[in-house]
Formats: sequence, structure tokens, C-alpha cells
Amino acid sequence: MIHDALSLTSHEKLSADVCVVGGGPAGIALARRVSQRGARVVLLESGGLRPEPAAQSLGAGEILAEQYWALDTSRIRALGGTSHHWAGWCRPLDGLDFEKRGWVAHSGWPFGFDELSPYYEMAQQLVDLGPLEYDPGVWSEQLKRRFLPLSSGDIQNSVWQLSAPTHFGKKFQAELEASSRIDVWLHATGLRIDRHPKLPRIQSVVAVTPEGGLLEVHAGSFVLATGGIDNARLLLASEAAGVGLGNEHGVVGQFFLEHPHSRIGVLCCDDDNGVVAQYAGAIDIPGSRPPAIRLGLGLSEEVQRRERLLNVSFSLEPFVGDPPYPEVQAMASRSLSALRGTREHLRFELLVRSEQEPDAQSRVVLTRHRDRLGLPWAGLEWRRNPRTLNSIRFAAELLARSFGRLGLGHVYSYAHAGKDARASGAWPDIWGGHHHMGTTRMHDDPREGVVDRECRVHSVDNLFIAGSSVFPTAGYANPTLTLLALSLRLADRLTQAQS
Amino acid sequence: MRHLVKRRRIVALFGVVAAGAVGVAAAFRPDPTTPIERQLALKLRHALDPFWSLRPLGELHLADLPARLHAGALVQALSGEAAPQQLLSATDDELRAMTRERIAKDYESAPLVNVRGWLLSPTEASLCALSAALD
Repeated sequence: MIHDALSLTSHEKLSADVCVVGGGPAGIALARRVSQRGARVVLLESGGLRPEPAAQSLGAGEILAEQYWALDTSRIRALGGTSHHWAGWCRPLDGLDFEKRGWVAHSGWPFGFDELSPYYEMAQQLVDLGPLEYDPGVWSEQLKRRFLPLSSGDIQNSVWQLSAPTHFGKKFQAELEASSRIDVWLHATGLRIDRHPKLPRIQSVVAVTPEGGLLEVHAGSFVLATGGIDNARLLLASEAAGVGLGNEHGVVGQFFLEHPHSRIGVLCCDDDNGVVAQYAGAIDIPGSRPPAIRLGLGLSEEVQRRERLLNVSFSLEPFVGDPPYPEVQAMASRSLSALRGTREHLRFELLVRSEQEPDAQSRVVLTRHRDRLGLPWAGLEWRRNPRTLNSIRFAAELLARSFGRLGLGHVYSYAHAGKDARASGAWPDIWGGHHHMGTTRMHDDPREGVVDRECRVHSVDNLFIAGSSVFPTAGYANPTLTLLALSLRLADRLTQAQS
Repeated sequence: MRHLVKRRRIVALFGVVAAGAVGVAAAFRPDPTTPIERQLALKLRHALDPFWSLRPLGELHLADLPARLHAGALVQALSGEAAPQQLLSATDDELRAMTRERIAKDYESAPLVNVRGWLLSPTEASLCALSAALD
């Protein structure tokens, strides 16, 4: 059932088996799954059914280091969360992303891809995709299309499945309204997590309503699913006298990860048969699940190991206007192609989407500002270390080599052009993809992570975290599919524990 | 003469400098390009149309190198293990095919050359430079 606490002024006490804070994709996926297994759920959502300025303003924060998007626009507070404005790009993490890599600081998940695989399958269904199939060879055969012949090189084809994109609020609103086991409370902002006075357990979560009412939820288990910024914010703010809930080792908020995005250069290529052009847009598959796929280019596992690189991918984007290099180089591009017996037909901008190396100095902290409910603002210190930029730069060289070897074209790299780089700003001109990850990272050692392999906060028996804030590393794949898989896995753990 | 290499530099008497991208050593001294190397340079220019349009990029490349390379050194680099005489007797088609094969091989294993942002094979970079070194 869906309740609206917009005009609630009283102090209500609620009880449930599981209390979920946050009604985005992670929270909804988890609530549905545990309720299907018999649990009673209270789900607290800060916003309403649609985005509203008043609710959005509660997500405001400060940007303290690298330039970043305004925090109150980077996430949506409404039922369905940020699925109100996501682009639908889905892809699981690669197997290597889960491994402890000697060349990537703080890398390594407590488990591998296989552990998440069945949950990835379920997550595919939640976002209206087909089977968990991301092998470019299979897609090439299925669609009867020729992709670039890159199967054995350092650069390989990669595939994203594109969700419609699924809007979790709209898709599940009717089901939630009809549910006898899930009570959704809209306009109920999680404000405080109260510990049991003697036991290492959470006793209740207190949410506040716009009119000053209070919802005090008592439950067997509590799950924070408020996103990569607010999960850390709520923990840090929840024990005024101390350092923050679950923060005995100072890890809460640290290791903020993004997927650094950058326009790295220009691909000038011959493309008589249209093979390369397929990479510059969605490939629609009418009447199918998924409704479309998108091709990209990624680093092979072998070259990541050999060259000690982070995971990096490229997308091709069509140019609007001319490439941002001097005309002398445009002429050179045509001539270089001619030398190699090809014709320069097309020019694409190369968009990089990269893994970021985990770094404790990249973090979410609390600031002195408080929102109108009294909760301290989050301050974001996003920092990208040199290894991240070096991996991107080196990946551009690998791409140039791959296209050169195949006789397909040339790469002009802004990262290598020095003072001749694109006029709009010297490289690196890097931005985030609104992917907030890593601030309550998962690790078996409480000194290295906030939650354990079951996504339980180390020092609290019944407090769990759902969402991308638990990712120890994040590859380059968009986080939605993985955070859904983790949420479904957590739901199973919760219901197994209760039964 | 239009096809003659005009570059005549009398600079230093000593010091072998690194030839940078092409991996050739060139000394600061009067252009030592031999007549055969000049002929081969002109043959490449003829065979690899539109060779002339590489000149602006070649100028940029030459300007970035620690020392100005002369056409002879570039031709040597481009000839590789083949004797210049052998290349001179090749047809234009054969020269083009050899060049393309060499470029492809470069991309397999040779270090890339960064020419103001263009990530090129050493052969392509040398051809650009040769275009600029020829008048």
C-alpha cells in the first residue's frame, strides 16, 4: 500500500520485518523480493510520486574538490529514484573487475562474478531486458551484423543492452499500491538511525515529514538504499556524539567512485560498409527484449593485466560540426588515409568511460550547512588519481594501434596533442556520469570496508546497505544492473536469515 | 630543379642526435643525402599521392624532433632493410603495397609516434617528415 505523509503532523510508530530507507531501484527491488518471500516491509521515500523541488532540495550539498554536478540534480528523490532520469544503459561488471588486481589499489570484491550471475539474470528482467547475454559474437550472429574484427586484440567489442529505460516508480506503482505486505510512505525522509542502548543493533529509524510529523519504524532488519552520497551521509550523521554509525575505522564516506567520462579524441576512418557507424548509436531491435543494444570498445582482460591498466571503454559519437582540430590536420587525416589505401569517410568523437582507482581521499564528508530538516549537508571531494588518467591515455594509444593494424583509420588524441588540444579546453576535461559509488564499500576486513560480503554494516547486526555505495571497485559498466543484482541478493540473505 | 633536395645545412661539426620517432641518427652537417636517396625520395613522392598534403603535418613533426632530419636519413629509415637500389627498381604499385604492409606491421609492434596528437606508425610519421623535407 502507498501512504502519503505529506500532511502528517503526528508521531506514528510502525513496525515491520524489514525497513527500507529509499524508494529508488535498489529499495524497490529489495522490498518486492523480500515481500514475495513473506516479509512485511515499510519503505520510506523522501519524495512523492514525481520529482518536486522541495524534496530535491534535501539532496543539496557542496562540491569541495574536482568539479562535479550539483548534488541536488544528480539524484532524484521520488518513488523510483533516479530511474526518473536514467539513460537505460545496462551491462554487468566484467569478471576481472571483481578480482584483486595487484596494480589497482584497494581492488577486489569478496566474491566473483559467478556469485552475482543469477541475480544479474533477475535484474535483467526488472529493467525489461532479455537474457544476460553480453557476448558481442553472439549478438553479431543473432542480429546478422558484422562487427569490427577485434576478438583477439587488446581492444575488444563490448555490448550494452539498453533498457527502455524502465521507470521503477511507474512500473511498480500499481503493484505497491495493491501490496498487503509493503507499506510505502511517501514524503518520509530518513533522519536518524537509533541504536539499541545495549546491543549492537538498530532499534528504529526515524523519518520526518514536511509538516514535522515523525515516523518511527521498528523492524528486524534495516536497509539503507538512499544512493551513494546519502547512504554515507545518513551513517555519518546518525551518531552525533561519535564519528558516525558503522564508522569505527573511518571508512564511511571514503573511496567515492565515479566513472570518469572524457572526450579523448577523434577517430578518422574508412567505413564503406557501415561497420564502424554501427558503434555511433543504438542498434534498435524492434519488438525485442532488449529493445536496443549499443556497441562500444573495451580493453581485453589480457592487456589490462599486461599493461597494469584500469578498465576503460570507448563509445563513438557522431560529430555535430567539424572536429576540433586545425584544418591542417583535417587535410593530413585525409592524406594519411590515402597513404594506406583507405578513404577517410567518417570522423567520430571518442568518448571514454573509465574505471576509477579507489582512493580514500576521494570521499563524502559532512559540512557545516544543514538542510531544513536539520541534517548536515554532504560535501563531495571527488578526486581522480594519475593512474586513472594514465590508463585513459594509454587506452587511446591501444585504440590507435588496433585501428591501424586493421587498416581502418587513425586516432587523433586530445590527450596527446598538448597545446593543439581541442579549443574548448585542454585535456583532461573529465566529468562524472552521475554514478555515485564506493562510499560504504564492501570488504571482509572492517578496517577496509563498511559492509561485509552480505552487505551488512560490520559493527551492527541488523543494518544493511543496498546500492552502488557498496561497490569496492566499479569497472566501467553503468552501475544500475549491478546494484539491482546486489539488492536482490541481499533480499535473499535477509529472508533466509529470518526464516 | 624541382625534384632536387634543396636542404643544405651547415650547422655543427659534431654531435650525433637522436632521430626521434624514426629511430635514425642524423648528424648536424651538410645534408648528406646521396643521389640514390634523393631519387628514392622523389619516387616515393610520385608513388604515394597525395604525398604533398602531408607536408604541414610533417613540418610540425620535424619541428618537434630534437634535430632537423634530412631527406636522406628519412629515406634510410623508410627503406629499412631493403637496399635503395632495390626499391628504386620497384613499380609505383609495388612501392605502395610495400608501404602499406610496413605500416600495418608497424602498428603490430613498433612504438607509436605522436605527431601533435596524431598517433601514427613510424612509417607514416617518416613519410610526413619526408614530405616536409622535400621541396
